[in-house]
Order: sequence, then structure tokens, then C-alpha cells
Amino acid sequence: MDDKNHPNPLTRRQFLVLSLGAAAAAAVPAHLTGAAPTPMAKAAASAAELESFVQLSALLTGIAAEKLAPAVDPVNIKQVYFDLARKESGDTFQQLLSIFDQNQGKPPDEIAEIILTQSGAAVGNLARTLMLVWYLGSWYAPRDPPQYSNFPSSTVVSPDAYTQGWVWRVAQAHPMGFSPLIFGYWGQTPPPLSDFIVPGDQS
Amino acid sequence: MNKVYDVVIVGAGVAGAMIAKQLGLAGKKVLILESGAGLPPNINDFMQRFFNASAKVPESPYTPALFNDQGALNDPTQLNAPRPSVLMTGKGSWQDPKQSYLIQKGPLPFSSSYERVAGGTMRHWLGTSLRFLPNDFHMKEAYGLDDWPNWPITYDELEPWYGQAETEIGISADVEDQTYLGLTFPDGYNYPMPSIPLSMVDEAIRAAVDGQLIDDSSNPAKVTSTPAGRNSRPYQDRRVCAGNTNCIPICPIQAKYDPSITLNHALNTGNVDLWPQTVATEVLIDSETGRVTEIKYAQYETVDGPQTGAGSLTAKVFVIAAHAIETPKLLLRSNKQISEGIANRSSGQVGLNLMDHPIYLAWALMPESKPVYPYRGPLSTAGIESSRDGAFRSKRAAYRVEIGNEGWNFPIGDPDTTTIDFINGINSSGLNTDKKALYGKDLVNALNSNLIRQFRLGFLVEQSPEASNFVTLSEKYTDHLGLQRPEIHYNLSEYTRQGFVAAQQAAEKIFSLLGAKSFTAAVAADDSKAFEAGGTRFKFFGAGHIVGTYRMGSDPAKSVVDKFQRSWDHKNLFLVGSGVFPTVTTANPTLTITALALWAADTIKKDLA
Repeated sequence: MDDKNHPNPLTRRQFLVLSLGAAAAAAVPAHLTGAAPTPMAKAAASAAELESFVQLSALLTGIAAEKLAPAVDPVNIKQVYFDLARKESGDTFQQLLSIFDQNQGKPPDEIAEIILTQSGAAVGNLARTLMLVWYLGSWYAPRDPPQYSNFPSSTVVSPDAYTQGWVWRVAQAHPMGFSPLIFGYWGQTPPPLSDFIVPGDQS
Repeated sequence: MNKVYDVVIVGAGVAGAMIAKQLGLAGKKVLILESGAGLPPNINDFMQRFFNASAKVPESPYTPALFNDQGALNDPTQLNAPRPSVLMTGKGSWQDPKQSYLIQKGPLPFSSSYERVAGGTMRHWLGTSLRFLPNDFHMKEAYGLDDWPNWPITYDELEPWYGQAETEIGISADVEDQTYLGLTFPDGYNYPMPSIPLSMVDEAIRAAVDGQLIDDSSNPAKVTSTPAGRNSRPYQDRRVCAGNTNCIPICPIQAKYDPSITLNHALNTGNVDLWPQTVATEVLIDSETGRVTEIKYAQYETVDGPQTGAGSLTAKVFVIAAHAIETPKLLLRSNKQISEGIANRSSGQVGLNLMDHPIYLAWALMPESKPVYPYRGPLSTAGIESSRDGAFRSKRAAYRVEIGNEGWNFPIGDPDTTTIDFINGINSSGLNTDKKALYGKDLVNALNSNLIRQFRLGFLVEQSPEASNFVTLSEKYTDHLGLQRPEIHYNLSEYTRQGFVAAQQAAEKIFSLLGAKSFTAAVAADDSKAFEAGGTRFKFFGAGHIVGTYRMGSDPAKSVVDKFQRSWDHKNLFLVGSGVFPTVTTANPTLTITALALWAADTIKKDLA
């Protein structure tokens, strides 16, 4: 972990998931890995798309990419959201990633402006849905903002998605029902906001 | 053949659990019937259900599930042990029997919910464990409220049982903090654990309001740490609170007490059995002696499946511990032998005087220079108790003030609502007045700046006892077992409403002392929980404090049970839980439910000796 004040250290369950994942990968027979160039090429393209997705997400959410997708990432929520966006909004999602890739060289505010207001309602609405899922862990079907009322219908993506919600960190707090902190912390000023959303040193 | 039991208890909530444990320890054979699910080996399923719930309401972790596969509320007609939810009190649902388990006749919705599951409604309690005040027990004499019933007991009589209840639950509090408005403790008494530290929200309010007059009570305000059934040290093999800010609906580490602790202690005596998914359907009596002879039951295996069993149980003593709505439901439907209903011949009071603590909710934003960092710590760690008693009680309802640590989660569903506002450029929260749609650092900063300054106050108003607020049986609507559902008639009296008027003024005073800006929303025209008082429209919320309907008293013509919670009509029948409270008083009911249950257990033990 990058920081002793990090609000979300690995839980035992997450370690289990991590080690199980490693074991599963090791169990794949060698003749099935690397034998087929087409799947590999697909995987490479997919990894590039995933990286684009993380960079796009960082731009929109204001949370550092290294925080959204840390080097050690047992929960791997980025993949969950990436797969979900593709499943729910395939063509628009592809379009959104393309727009982002095509405009990579521009200043961040310009890219955001292009995505959120200049590429049509479908792209802008999906971008806002992705911001919401990163912040709240819930999927709000893309639609025009004025249709949202106090409690628009949404679906919690998964328990992990709820506990990974960034709004809690932005509030310098923790998800309700998921405190990694110790007795009495609530009487003390929390660590500064930057500790929650900007990567710390890796020492 | 059925085992022979000394005592059959209906309901595995805190009252039933406490009695079962005490009787089990004394070697008595006890059977508890629980209408809902039994004790799971751990709370993992509850937690998963909570995490996955879009509406993280008090009932969300528990069974039966609130929603069906289509995302609509489950139809109570199709469930064997349905229960109310706060989701059933909105304008579109509260009077729809396909959505609302309770058949609500109004004019206002009864807005509190309960659980039908082993552990009972305390599965989702907050943990607040205040003692009632000496004056709470005799409002008639203290404040000339001639229509109000006295309790048949005094604070001094109940005091030793409070002490035992505090040990059984495991309360964290300081005696010095709790010695106010006539409360006394035995010399040298200490709570089992030290008090819970105040939050930054509490400290800010304390600094601004301590010593000030916030309302028409003559007592200067004082913010004190709230006695809580929440561990400040390891206790009963349970962990110390980690401030999950989730006491309601569920503490993920069980640092907060829930009755599964006591149920397990009871089962471990080897003398107590618990039958889940077993609904008591009828109480039978011997018409000559008036004693209860049997309780009939129906059983099922799945929440909406067919009835799978039925039978009848005999015992020496029967205890109904199904709280203030399901208990009268059982008594009133057991009326084939007695037209008035069981335990109702002498007084006719069964089902009457339903009460709650209707809540006035006020929320505000601290100045930018004074963030209070909510969404941290237990949901509430402190309150203002100084307004619970005073001469004003002759004219208006008293209240206690609960300080919330969960920002605007209760009032507006935050942090979600504010997040949606700033991402979509709308203003449901009131915080995004320019309707800016933000992204990146601006979004982070706007959310941070607003969320770290939020707080709310909940005023728990003492509802006056009224015979016109009552539970009866629906003529028309049943559950899946064919049992008539509770029909509720409910309103707030002028006395109670005047408590809201005072609460609103107190909230404004507190906000002004803090330099905080109120965001308490105007009440929508069609809100089901809206009412008028003093020319102002108010909205109330339920506190989950379901009280009254089989009141205790000293006169068999005016009360259902005596001071020992024994039915006046049936000497081997005890009715326990908050249904016995003649008045709802000014504090959360659980500690008093527990104290009275322990007292009843002692009486039953003597009966069986």
C-alpha cells in the first residue's frame, strides 16, 4: 500500500481473492497460453482500451489514475466497470473511448469539454454514468440529467463496488458499513484530502 | 411427542431473548417461537444484502427481501411473515395493500418499521440506551395532564433493573454525564464500559450551545455522550466499535449489541429451544380459570411457500413478546372464545394508544472555516437531553435532540444525492444552486467542501397517548398464511404537533449559535407525512419506536397488564416489550424494554418456583 493513512488497506478477503487469482492463472496449461495469436492481439487491444478507460476516468472523476487502478489491485474494479460499460452501452462506450484517444494531446479541460458537451447527448450521458459508478458504485442508466430526481433508480454493481466508492474518500471518510479505522478516530481531524485521492510515496 | 415446556415465548426479539436466557439459567424449559428466520451462523448474508441494496433502509439487510426480481416491493399477501418497511410509507405506497404490509387508515401514516426475524427489530437499532426520567412515569401529577395514564411504577422501582439491563446489553456511558433532570444512580455505580468519545460534529455543537437556552425549557442546553449498547472496550466476546457509521441498518462487526448475543446465551444453557418460521396463530384459554392453556402455531419453510406444519403447545406460563403491533394482532385474533379478545375483557385497551417518537429532522451546513467531518464514527454519539423535562410539558410535547454523524444521509440520502447533483448539474440537495455540472478537480473540491460540513439534528418528540391511534385486524387483507394483517389508525395530536413547533425553533437557534446555514427542505405539498402546526407545514419521520397498545397500569379497568406485565385477565400470561409502556416518554425505548423484561423474568421464575 502506498500510505499508512490509506483508508482502504487490503482486507483478508481481498488477499484471498488475489492469491486465488494467481493460483488460477498458474493452473492454465502452457500450451493454451501464447499459442493463439488472435486472442493475444485481442488481449493487447483490450489492455490498451482498459488503460484508456482508466485515464479517461481519472480525467472525469478528478481521482488520480494510480488511485483508481493501483499497481496492486486485488479488487480490480476498473475491469468490472469497463466490462459493465461495454455490456450496457457497447457502441457508445466504444465511441467515448475513441473520442478520448483521438484527443489525447489536448489539455484535459478541452478533452472533458469535447466529451461532456460536444459529442452528443449519448456520449455525455454515458460519461456522467461512468463518473457516478466510480463515485457511488452504482450504475445509473445513462439519460438526460433533468430526468434525475432525488433518488433515481440505480443498481449497486457489487458489494466491492459499493465499498470502493470514491465519494467516501472525497469526504475524507469511509463507506458506511466499511470502516478500516480504529475506535475513537471520529474525534480527530482526518488526514488531508490529498492523502485519499493522490498517490503517496511508495516507500 | 412434543417436549414439555415450562414457558413458551412468542417472539425472539430482545424481550423474549432476555426472558429466555434468565429462565434457561434457572433451569426452566423454554421454547421461543419466531415468526421469521432463525439465527444464522454469522451476519455475512445480512451484510451482502445490505451492500447490494440500492435503498440502504433499516430493513435492507434482513428477510424476507423487500423487493422482487422485477424491482417492485414484494406483495405482503404472498409472504408468510411480512413486515413493514420505511419504503412503504411514501405517498404512492402507504395506502396500497399490495405494497404496504400494514393496512394504513391514516389520516397520517404510521411511519416506523419492525423486523420479524430472530433478534427482532433490535437487529437494526441505533444503540441509544438512555434511562427514562422520574417525571416520565407520572406526567399526570407532574404536569396536570389529566388524560394521561401514570405508569404503575416509579423510576426508583425500575432503577435496579436498569442496572441489570445495562450489564446484559453492555452499555458505554459515564454516570456523571447521565445525572440530570432527577436521574439517580446507586452509590459507586459504574456503567459496564466508559462512554463513547464525542465526534467532531458533537464537539462543534457543544462548543456553541452548552449553557445556552435553545427553547422554552428553562434548562440550559448541554451536549452529552449518549449511553450506547456499543462496545468502547471488548465486551461479551465482541469487538470494540470501529466507527462504521452503520449502526442502522447493521453493525458489520457486532460491536453494537443485538439480541442474537442473548439468544445464543439462552440456547447455550441447554434449556432453551428456538423454533424459527413458526407463527403463533391463536391463544387458547380455560374458560373457568381464565388461564392460558395452549398457543397454536403455523409453520412454513420458505418466505412465500406453502404452510408446512401446524400444532399447539402447552406450558405453565406463556409470554408474548411480539411488540406493539404483532402482539395485539395475536391477542385480537384469538377471540373465538372471548369476543373482546385475549387479555382484553377487563379494559378493552388492547390495540389502543399506539405511539412512536415522530422525528423533526433539521439539517444544516457549517461555515467553510469550520468543517465537522461527518460520515465518521457511530451514527450518533451525543445528544441534548436537557430539553426532555420541564414545566412546558403541561402544554407541549418534550423531545430529546439526537446529533447525527452521518451528514445528510438520513434527510436527503447523501452522499449520493449531492454527488448526482454536481455531476449532472441539478440541485436536489440545495447545495448546487448554480446547477453546475462538474468534473475533475472541481468536482472533487465541490463535493469535499460540502460533504465535510454537513450535519443533522433529529428531535424525537414525545407523542401523546391517544385511544384514537390504534391497531386492529384488517377485515379484508391477509398474509400468505391467511392471517389478518394489522390495520392502523394514526394521527398526531395538537400537543404532539406543538412539540414540532418548539423543535423547529430550537433547531434554528442551534444553527444560529453555530453560524450554520439551514438546508431543512420545505415540505412537498403531496408528502404523505406532512401536517400543519402553528401555521407551518411540517414533515415527520418514524423513529422505529413502536410503543403502547397493551399498556401497564394499576387499574384492571384501564390497563391490560399489571406492573409485573402480567395480564389482568389471565394470570399465566405475560405481555412484554414496548407495548406495555403507558407513555412513550422522551427517550429511546430499548433499555426500558430490557429492564422490564428482566423484571418479568424474575416474576415468572418466582411463579414457577
